[in-house]
This record gives sequence, C-alpha cells and structure tokens, in this order.
Amino acid sequence: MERLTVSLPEDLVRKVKRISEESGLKISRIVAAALEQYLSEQVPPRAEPPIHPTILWKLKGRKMLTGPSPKLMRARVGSWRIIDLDELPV
Amino acid sequence: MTSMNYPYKEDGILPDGSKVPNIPIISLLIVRRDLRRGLAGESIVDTGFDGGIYANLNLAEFLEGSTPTRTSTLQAAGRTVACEVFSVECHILDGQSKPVLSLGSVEAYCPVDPIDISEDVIVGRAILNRVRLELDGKLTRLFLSNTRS
Repeated sequence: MERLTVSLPEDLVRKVKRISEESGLKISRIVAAALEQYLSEQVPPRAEPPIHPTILWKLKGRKMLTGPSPKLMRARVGSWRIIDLDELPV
Repeated sequence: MTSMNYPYKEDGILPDGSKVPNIPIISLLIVRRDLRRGLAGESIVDTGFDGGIYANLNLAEFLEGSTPTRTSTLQAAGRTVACEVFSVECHILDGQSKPVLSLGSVEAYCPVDPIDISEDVIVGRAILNRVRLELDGKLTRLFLSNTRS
C-alpha cells in the first residue's frame, strides 16, 4: 500500500465520512473503489489508423468495393492517370 | 477572351430505357510535390457540392501517406458523410491535358467509410466559384481571362 495525500472539497469529504460511518468501510477503501470505477470508465485514446486516407486502411484486403451505391445506372465519367511532373511541369 | 471547352459525358441509360442527363465535366490535375507526381482526370461539375473536391478511390490512393488537415462531415441525400480533408495542389487542364489555370491549394474531401466513396471525382463550389464557367447542356466552357482568385 502506498500513502497518497489529496485535497478534496469539504462537502465531498463529509459525504465520504458519512458513507464510511454507515458502511463501516475505511475511507481509503471507499476512495479506492471510486477511483477504480472512474478509471475503468475512461475510454482509451482511439488508435490512429496506420494509413491515411483512412478509407484505404478500411479497404485493405478487399478486392473490390462491396457497399451499395446510391447512383443509378450511370457510367463512369473518366479514368484518372498518374503523370510524372518531369513530363508536365506545373 | 480565351476559353476551354469540355464536352458533356454520356451518363448511361436507365433500366426503363430512359436516358440519364449528360454530365458536365472539367479536367483537373492534382499534384503531389513530395512524389513528383500528378493525378489527372475528368471530374464532375457539381454546383450542389459546397466543398472543393470530393475524392474517388483513384484520388484516395494517390493521397496515400498524406496527412489530413482536419475532419469534416458533408450532407448527401439526407446522410451524413464523415470525411478527412486534405489540402492538395490543384490545376485545371485543357482538353489536351495541358495545365491552363492554377487553383493553388484546395481542399479534397475523402470519405472515411467505403460505402461513401464515389466512382468519380466531384468538383464543387469552392472551386467553381473561383472561375467563370458556362454550362449549356453540351459543353462546359471555362473562360480564362476573367477568372477570380
């Protein structure tokens, strides 16, 4: 066990002392239980996807898009191509 | 006054045999200086989209390894679409894929969920409002001399 000194609002101290008297539990036991509950409710920080844009991370391993499409029977407008900037100075 | 013409694209036939209205398009070049590469292609002119560019999978793959500047949500057909926003260098190309107008840095919205990915790149008002365009149902005409930054 390790001793920890903390400052608490007076009304909170009164509440803890009252609970201690009513339950017969030591104040340190009540505070420890409250702390354990608080810490268990903390959400761990969301892990950043290792790849950006995130959609690529979500699609990793998929061979094709499988989600429903909201569009009608339309064709694609055009294909996109990679260009070397040495060939197209901008 | 110099102008560039981009013919509308056919948009297919519905199962009931009716024709879908043709699509106004414009050609864009997205540049990644770190890769010394550009991505060029045709994008849909959409005055109903208030952002700059909405990415398709080609553009999302081209942006791989970039860091989004922020996250944002778009409203599309009553749905909320979560997006990562990337700052990209963008140029408008003419019909021969030659850069004719630099737009500088624009925001590209890349949906986070695969269900929201578009097959086509969409160009919205954040870009369209900076240029003079004429849409006549057959051609998208871009006027160069009166463009505004």
